[in-house]
Amino acid sequence: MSSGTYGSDEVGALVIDIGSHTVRAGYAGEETPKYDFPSHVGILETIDTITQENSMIIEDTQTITMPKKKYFFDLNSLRVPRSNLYMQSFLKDGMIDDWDLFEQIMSHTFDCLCDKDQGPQYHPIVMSEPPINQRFKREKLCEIMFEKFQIPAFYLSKNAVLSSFAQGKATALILDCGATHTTAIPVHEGMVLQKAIVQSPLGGDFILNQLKQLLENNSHDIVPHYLIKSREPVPPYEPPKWTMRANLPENITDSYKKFMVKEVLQDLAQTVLQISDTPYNESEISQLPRVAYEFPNGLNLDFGEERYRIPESLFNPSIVKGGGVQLTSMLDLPRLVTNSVTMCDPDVRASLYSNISIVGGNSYFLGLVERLHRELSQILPQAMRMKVHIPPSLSERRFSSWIGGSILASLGSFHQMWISKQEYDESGKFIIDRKCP
Amino acid sequence: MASGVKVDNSVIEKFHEFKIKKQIGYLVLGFSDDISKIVVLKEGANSAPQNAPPDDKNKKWAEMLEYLPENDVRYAIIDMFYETKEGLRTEIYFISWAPDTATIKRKMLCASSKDALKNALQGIRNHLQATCKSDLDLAAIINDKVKSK
Repeated sequence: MSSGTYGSDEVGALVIDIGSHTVRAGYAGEETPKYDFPSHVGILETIDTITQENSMIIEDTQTITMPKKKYFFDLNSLRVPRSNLYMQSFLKDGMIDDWDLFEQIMSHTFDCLCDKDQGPQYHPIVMSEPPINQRFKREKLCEIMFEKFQIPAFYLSKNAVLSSFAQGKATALILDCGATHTTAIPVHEGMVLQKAIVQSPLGGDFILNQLKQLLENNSHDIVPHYLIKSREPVPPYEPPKWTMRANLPENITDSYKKFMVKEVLQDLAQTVLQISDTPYNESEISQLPRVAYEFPNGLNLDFGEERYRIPESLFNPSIVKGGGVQLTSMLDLPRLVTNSVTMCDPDVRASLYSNISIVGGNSYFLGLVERLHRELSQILPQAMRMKVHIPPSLSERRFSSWIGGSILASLGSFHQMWISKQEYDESGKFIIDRKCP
Repeated sequence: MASGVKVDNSVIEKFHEFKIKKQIGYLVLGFSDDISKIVVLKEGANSAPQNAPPDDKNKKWAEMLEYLPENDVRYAIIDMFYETKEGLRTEIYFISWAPDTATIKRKMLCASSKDALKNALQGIRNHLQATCKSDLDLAAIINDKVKSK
């Protein structure tokens, strides 16, 4: 037991929660993460010419060219356009895929969070993982944290379990609305029921793509912030009057443009989109007041039925026309829930239905809970008690698993659960399968 | 995953007393001040006589609900009496109480310590996870139980 090493409650533990949209990092015991930076990293490849002097023969100098990568993590530094800078994510299907980039992100995180003269070797670390992580990836992660970063203690926990616990529930059906996917994850008595996880690509990116298509179909250009020097107010639907920034760098990559356009779309989505209480009905909805939105370049548009039609795809994917995907075969949110629960043991179904909990960054839509409740009560037998929960504030929803990890790591009694450096040295990376099931 | 909070020995002793002697009507459990262990916070008496009808025996549920605060987490152990065709039956219930208004820290503590407590208290088949008093409506619980038979 390592409880002797960490006698007091204050161990300065760090909590890192990795999502497909952002990485959340901060100190255990705090209510919100200190840093929340994109999972897409800006990479600039440069070639360094190093003139190396051979110490043996002084006259002989060698010139070596070395490819070098420079990384940009924070949104603030990313907002400055740079030529040839491209964006890349270190995740694939929610799991860590590009380990070099992952190490860079971790180094950056530790630079932000740790004191200058102290590295991560003084901070125990709690990390979250997706519910369907692969075994060798967990082991590799454990190895990197101990070998490369020399951390004193480590713990890895499933993000769905942390979210569920943070709401006081040992048993819950977590509906995690993320950027790339929406996933239904049954958690029973603190354990994820792996075989009953159901995933659908109806995530935040899917919504943003529809928004983008809508604007393009109406031939509105989405101008990202970095291009704009100044703008003038114009009446709604008039062509925008704005001036482009002078001396923009050449060769701005497509991935960078896409990333910056996405930022504009995100703000638009959070401002105007809403979910209708009842199944979408165009004639009814067009009666509702329209909402105006001003784009960064001054373009003024107002949104009416689109506000409801786009997120309606979460409940009825076939409403989206085209898009190149087989939308009719995709599962909508209520089906995700029912499919996942029916794959579980009959004994636990009732308790899962009465503890449905929505988390994740894509749950910002007004009316989401009410609609899901309505749809589910139509599918389920009347005698089934069903309840849909949602954490009260948006930050609690976005950071639910980070907050769970933060509290857990700050508990005095949790110290015996950590994998300590000593235990790792004795048993190797396989200890993660035993101590963090 | 667990919080590592221990279950105090007195909890296990009281639970055995509750099962065998039938003098204790219910137990309300919670965390010690330094949140290192789970302790007994309230021990309810069994006021109804042994041969009383089930409705009288179940009166202690309402009393127990009084000890579940609106803004903090608790666990409770209580038995429930109901009538079937074959006669009077009784079931022990384990309740974890985590209202939405409790702080996240307490909710986290409640959910992550439940496993240790459950393992310490052998022989309870019925678990209820409650976030509001309506989840603990006795009539609905009895109804569910009778139907599942």
